[in-house]
Amino acid sequence: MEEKDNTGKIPGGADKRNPFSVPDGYFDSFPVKLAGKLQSEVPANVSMAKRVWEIIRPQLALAAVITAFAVTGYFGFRSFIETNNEWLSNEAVAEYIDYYQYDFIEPYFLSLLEVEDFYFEYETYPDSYTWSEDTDIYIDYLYNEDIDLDLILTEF
Amino acid sequence: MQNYSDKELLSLFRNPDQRNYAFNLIVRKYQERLYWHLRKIVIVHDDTDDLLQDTFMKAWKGLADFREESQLYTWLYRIATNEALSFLKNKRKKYLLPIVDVEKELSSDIEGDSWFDGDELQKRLQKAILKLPEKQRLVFNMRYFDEMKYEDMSKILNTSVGALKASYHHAAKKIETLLKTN
Repeated sequence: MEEKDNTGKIPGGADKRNPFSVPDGYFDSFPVKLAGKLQSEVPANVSMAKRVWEIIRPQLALAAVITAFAVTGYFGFRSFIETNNEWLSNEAVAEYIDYYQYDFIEPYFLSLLEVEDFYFEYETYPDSYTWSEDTDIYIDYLYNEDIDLDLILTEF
Repeated sequence: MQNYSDKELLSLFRNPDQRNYAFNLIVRKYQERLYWHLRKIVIVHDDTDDLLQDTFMKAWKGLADFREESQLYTWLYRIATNEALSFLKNKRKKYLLPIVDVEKELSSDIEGDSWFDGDELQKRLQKAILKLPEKQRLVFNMRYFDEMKYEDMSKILNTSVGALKASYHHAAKKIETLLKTN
């Protein structure tokens, strides 16, 4: 049962009479004013899916814009890099390989391998021996082409 | 106007042909109670009018999903209370005012309000109420002026009955003291 507590007069004499008032006819005109406002607003009982769509639509639009920026940025950056760094392109690599292919002198290459083999066995190099840069190139070439060095030496 | 129960009004509202008519009846049934509830919170008539419209606009949009887990009038009170509290919160943000200054502003609104018909003692009472913390002010108004049941207040304010009783008790004591000292 609802408790009847001290909700009577506040000591001091102030009563519960409502001290505020409204303009004349306010409550008669309010429903009409509200109906006018409602007609210009969203209709009632809009389906839940439509309302959810209305809520998430701005977020989806924002996400689409961000994604478009990201994709454009990524491909733009890639295009810029490829334009300004030709050494990265496949064509440039192929040209490089073709160029050094003609530089290949078989006797010189084999003599280098012999020297390498000799010093490898004794695990030491004479002070006078200087490691040619070409050696690296040939070893890299053989390694990349998967050619067996022992086989070449045996056949030679 | 025929007096419909809330259940009948909601049933009428669910009929698409009767929707506008049913909502009009709901507005007419509850507009005064909600108006006075809002008016005691925001004091100024024009602000109250705006908030009452916003309250019913939200009710119109949400009524189709109303599952009758609570009573229609507690649901409407809850919307109205949230609207009023949001209004005060925005007012504080807008003017960068701390809470005390907003209450001072509302207090001066009472002085200049052409739609305040109360005597000097009622004016002092309203100003004393404005000095209460927001929640206590709500509880005091709902209990003292609207004579709302604590159980209903509990549903509207999402607070236990015990806490509401304690809140009302503190509010009444503070007002008593304020009225005696001024």
